[in-house]
Amino acid sequence: MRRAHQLLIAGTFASIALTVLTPGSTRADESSVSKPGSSGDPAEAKPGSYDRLLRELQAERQHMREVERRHEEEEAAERKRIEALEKEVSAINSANLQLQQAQTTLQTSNVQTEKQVGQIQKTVSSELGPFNFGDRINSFLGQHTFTMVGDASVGYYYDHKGGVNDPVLEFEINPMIRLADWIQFYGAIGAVASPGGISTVGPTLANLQIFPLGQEAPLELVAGLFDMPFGDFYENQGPPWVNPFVTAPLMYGAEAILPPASLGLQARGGIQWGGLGQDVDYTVWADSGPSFESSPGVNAIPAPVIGERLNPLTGTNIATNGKGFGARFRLFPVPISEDLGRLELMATTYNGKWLDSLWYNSWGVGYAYRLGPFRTRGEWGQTYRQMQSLTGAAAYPGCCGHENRQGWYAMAGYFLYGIPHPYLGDWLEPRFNKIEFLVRYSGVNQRGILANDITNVPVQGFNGSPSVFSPHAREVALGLDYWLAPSIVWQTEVDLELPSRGGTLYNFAGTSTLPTASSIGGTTNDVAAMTQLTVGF
Amino acid sequence: MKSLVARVAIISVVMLGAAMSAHAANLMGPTPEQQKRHLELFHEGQALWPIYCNHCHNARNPAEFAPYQWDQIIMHMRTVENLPPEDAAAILEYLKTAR
Ligand code: HEC
Repeated sequence: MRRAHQLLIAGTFASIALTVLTPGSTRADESSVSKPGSSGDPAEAKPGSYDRLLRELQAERQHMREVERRHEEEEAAERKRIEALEKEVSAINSANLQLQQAQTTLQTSNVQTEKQVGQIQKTVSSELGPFNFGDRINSFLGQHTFTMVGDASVGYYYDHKGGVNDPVLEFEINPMIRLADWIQFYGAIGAVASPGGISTVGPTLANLQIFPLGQEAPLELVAGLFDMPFGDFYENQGPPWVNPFVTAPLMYGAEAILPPASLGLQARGGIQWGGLGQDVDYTVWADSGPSFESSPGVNAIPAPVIGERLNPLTGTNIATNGKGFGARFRLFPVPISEDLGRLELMATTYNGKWLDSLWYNSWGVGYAYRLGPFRTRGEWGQTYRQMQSLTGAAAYPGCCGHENRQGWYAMAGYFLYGIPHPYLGDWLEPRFNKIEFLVRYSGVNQRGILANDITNVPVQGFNGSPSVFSPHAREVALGLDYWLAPSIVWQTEVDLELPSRGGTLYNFAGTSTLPTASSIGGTTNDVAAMTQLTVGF
Repeated sequence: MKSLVARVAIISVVMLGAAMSAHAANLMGPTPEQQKRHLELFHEGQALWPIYCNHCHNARNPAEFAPYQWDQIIMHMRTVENLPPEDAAAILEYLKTAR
């Protein structure tokens, strides 16, 4: 490029020189032709014209130098521009390379996840939650820190022995208010309408989720009224769109052996100990302790007795001097790279005082597993309650000694999309894919049962069967779920109540402040059926 | 007086220039490093979501909620699940992007 330039300039010079010189000689020739008799020295003959030519030549040279300088300047500028462009091109190339790499990773991970996502999509179409309360309220308030979620369900329950044929309606709303990056309020309040009237359902919650070290640290505090983090059910399976059954397993439902909610402070968090998906987590908490329906301030029954119901909420510790301490650990041993689903193993213990100096101890173990169309969960738990030691005239039936309760459940579900079904056709196939079959076996052992607790009024999650209230309750639940969307489900369940051995029946009859005791044999079997449409939004 | 006016003028020009270059930087969007980090998080979240978020209930669709709502929901879900912080961040990135 530069060389060509120089040649060009040199060429220009040469041609100028030729032009300048050639006319001179021509003129000399001309003059000699026109004036043959004159002198042969042209310089002497025309000194003025030579000077002029010289000046012209000089001016021309200067002009050429100027041109050359400008060319060089332009060339330098151009070089700079080219260098800058080259830099840009190489930056673009490397960004391109990164993008290509990213795309390759994306494609590989896509292939990996395609299967799982595909499975999910088979069961749950891309429909959205039906209401966007939060959005509406935020646009009303003009700020984006408020979200409202919850659920609603409407169902119809039938029980043979109790003669139940009743509709049940339930809703719960959960406001979430994010006060800052590190603190959020979470609440739960709900109601249920059934033939027994309208009442609040489930524990009312109100807690603060606090990340004292920021969201990057595996430490979180939960302060206030929270779901009891014993095992997995109350905290993780409670809402009707989450629990694939209409009812809860006996140990967390009609025959609860642990309190469902608590007032206190939790510290919790999780870390990855191995490959991606191999996690371990902890939850430790201190709260106001469990309490029972005879507790001061509650008094559904007037005196503590073996077999009585737990209070829905621990929170009467001012009157009971109750306190509780709990710890739960969960282990997820399978890395996601194995493509073997998510397996969870857990162990919990919860101990404290339920009344003054009287102990309450409990512990439990459990597992949960889900892979593709298949899921299963199971838990076993045991509680021990130290009763009063009354003697003589003060003693009454069921007052004293120890109270033990054990409960367990195991459930499994299978989505039909897991079964090959090539000939169903376009209409049936997607509907077939959304069906899940479920089975659950649950049981509770306790020495006594309280006649005053026996009811056949169905509420959401309770089938209305009086056979549930047996000292050795056993239940087989068969379920058929049709999942319209991930959180919209039409559930149908048949419960076979198959109570085993009997025990003691305590009864506060009439205005009696002390119970009578009688022994009961195995309660008769029963059957109940429920169907319910539930929407989680 | 004149020098004061000149100084004010110079300072304003400098500040205006700074503001404009900051604005230009904003317009240019995240740096390649930031983009790479987002992408990594997204991939991790994409791998985790169908397994982690399908463990207790059916995985909820990313399109169901607005990004600010996912901020809040993940704050709540990482509590019930006790998610390792990095995984929570990855799933959040996935949910907000994939919608
Ligand atoms: C340990 C069990 C568990 C896991 C794992 C879990 N969830 Fe949930 N999720 C729940 C429960 C329980 C609720 C109902 C609200 C409640 O009771 O706290 C819920 C509710 C929700 C809701 C409804 C809004 C709300 O906050 O109540 C959304 C959306 C949701 N989960 C998304 C997710 C996503 C995304 C993940 C994956 C990070 C996830 N869940 C993992 C248990 C779980």
